[in-house]
Amino acid sequence: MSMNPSLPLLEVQDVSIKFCRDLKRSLWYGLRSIALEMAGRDGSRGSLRQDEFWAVQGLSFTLKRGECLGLIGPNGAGKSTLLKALNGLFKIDEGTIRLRGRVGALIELGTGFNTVLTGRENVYINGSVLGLTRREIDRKFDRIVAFSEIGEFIDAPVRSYSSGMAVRLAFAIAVQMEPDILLLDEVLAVGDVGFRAKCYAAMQKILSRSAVVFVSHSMAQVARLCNKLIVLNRGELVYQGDNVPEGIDRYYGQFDDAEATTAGSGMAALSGIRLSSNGSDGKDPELLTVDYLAPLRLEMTLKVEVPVKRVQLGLLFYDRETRGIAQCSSESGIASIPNRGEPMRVSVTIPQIPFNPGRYSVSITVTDEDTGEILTTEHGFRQFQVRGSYFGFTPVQLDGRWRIVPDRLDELDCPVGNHMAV
Amino acid sequence: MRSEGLREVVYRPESELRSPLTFLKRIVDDIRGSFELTRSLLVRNIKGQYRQAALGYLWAFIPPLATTVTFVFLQSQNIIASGKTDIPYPVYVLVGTLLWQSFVDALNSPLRLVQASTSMMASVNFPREAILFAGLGEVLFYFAIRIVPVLFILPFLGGSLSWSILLFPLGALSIIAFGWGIGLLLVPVGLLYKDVEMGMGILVTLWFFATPVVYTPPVSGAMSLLARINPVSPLLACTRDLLVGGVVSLPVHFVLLSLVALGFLLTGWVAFRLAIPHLVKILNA
Repeated sequence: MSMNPSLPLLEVQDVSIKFCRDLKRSLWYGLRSIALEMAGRDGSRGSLRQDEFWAVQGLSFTLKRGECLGLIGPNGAGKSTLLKALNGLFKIDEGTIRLRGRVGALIELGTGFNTVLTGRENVYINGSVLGLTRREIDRKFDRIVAFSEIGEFIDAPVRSYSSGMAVRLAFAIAVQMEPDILLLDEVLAVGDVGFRAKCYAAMQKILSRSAVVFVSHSMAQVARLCNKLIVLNRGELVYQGDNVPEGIDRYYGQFDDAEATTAGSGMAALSGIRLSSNGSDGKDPELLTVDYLAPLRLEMTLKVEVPVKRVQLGLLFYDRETRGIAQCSSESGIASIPNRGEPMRVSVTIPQIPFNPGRYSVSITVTDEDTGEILTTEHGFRQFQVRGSYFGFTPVQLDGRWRIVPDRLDELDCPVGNHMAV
Repeated sequence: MRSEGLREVVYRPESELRSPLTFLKRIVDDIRGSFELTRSLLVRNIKGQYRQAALGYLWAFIPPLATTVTFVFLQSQNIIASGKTDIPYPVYVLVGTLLWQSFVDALNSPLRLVQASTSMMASVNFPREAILFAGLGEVLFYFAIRIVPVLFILPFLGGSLSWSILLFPLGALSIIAFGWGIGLLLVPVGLLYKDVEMGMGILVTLWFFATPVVYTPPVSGAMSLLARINPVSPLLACTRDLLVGGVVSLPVHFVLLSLVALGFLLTGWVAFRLAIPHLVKILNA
């Protein structure tokens, strides 16, 4: 029945799930639905009763082997709910969910762990909760211990583990599943940097063999792993499709922009800040659009109090997750900006903006060159949108010069390789 | 690439009883798939329970022993009147307490274990039966480790064992099945409303005194009526008689009640299966 590799492993059709906000009432509704279930009848499904709301409504999608669906949205969007429903953990209110093959779910790490027992004992317990047979665990035991880097602690009670060790052991067991369908909930970011790299490698291996649904708040992870995307917000479908970067952009659109702030000692003030690219400056409230690798120009009026003799200016670019992704300091351009106590007009041009398509913000910091004191910082005053045809999943997309190297020795001296264009 | 027939599962909002064949098939699949997990959970629960106690498994035996000593002392001081027993009183109390303890363990087991597993059920789809079986296994395990020393002590207390002892395990199983069946039936409501758990605590204490555990039921009066309608009475009395060779009382009641226990058990099981997906949604989604 599944000889056909294009047969979806996961089929979701018009699925809706509702919940009740009020605890007492939800208990009562629950009791009624259990009674109806036992009587072989259907409960109130299509409509909402008092205090009920849709956590997921009318959702449909299919997933084949090798496909990874990212499920993103703000907190309370209904992502984890949907993931649990897909795993058959609770009853849906409308629609159909069809799964083919072995289902592995990583919704929580270390389910069934008993901290009084040893790591070894818990490997067997957690393994069998996840559906591994005793023989499978026997066979994989050494690999699990090696992966977790627990060493001789495997025979110590889990209570004596650091939280990192427990999570490493739990993850090591979980990656031993060989599922056809994998349901993952935000469990990739465990352990230190070294262990995370290992997790990714292990996960990538599973991804290539399975159909994966991946819930995450990390857009970096989503962009890296997923080739389909669903963006939910409070039961509403915000985006559904194959264009992951566009979906991520829509996800960011669910949040309000941070307000502009000014900080610092107040010995300097910035005004008349103007951001432009190729002559266009996208008047407020319109968003300034910058083409990939186009120049960006910033102009501002700077007024610094007299005691300060020389200042430095610094720009810091942020992505939507408010991670600093690039800097530009006047220190690397001009030696210093002397202060004459009068307002002066300063401009800076960045010849090429090599950013991934998306929205960015910039902050300007003025520092006293002699003391290093921050005189003023303008943050989040203006955003700009980078437009480009190629979407990657890192904030910076370097401009490379690519060519095929001829297969002859006499042409080895041809220019080749990457050319950084910042 | 694995391409052999993949197992297909479908989740729908309709009542599972709408397609009884699929429902039965799932039960059989789950029972088959639950053995290893049952074993793991059973080992976890048993090993975990007393690992941090210096006296270890002795604690399984201490409470019924303490009850026995207490009542034997009270009776010897004429503080309570136990009524006439046809076997030595200490034997009567010890075996009675032991059986009662197993009944209460079985009664509390389903709700207690399902409650302790709600977060597990909300994150992994494993055969839910494993929780129940592990609980039942635990009850049987503790019954077994309690009964063995009792068998050695009995002769010193003036008890004599008879051939009817061969039927004793059957009796004990009936008591446990009866308690477990009721316990199962309580799970759907008990998981939603704490009232069940708290109410059961009180009920069990009262029930103890309405059952011939530490004294024989009076032949007349309100108490005798209570003892007669109490279904645990014949089960417990009969089983005790089987072990220590008393006159087996009420054998017909015993057989009928064993069948009732079986009925509770099967109904409770189906109810449990049907209720769990609803319960998980409300409690931990």
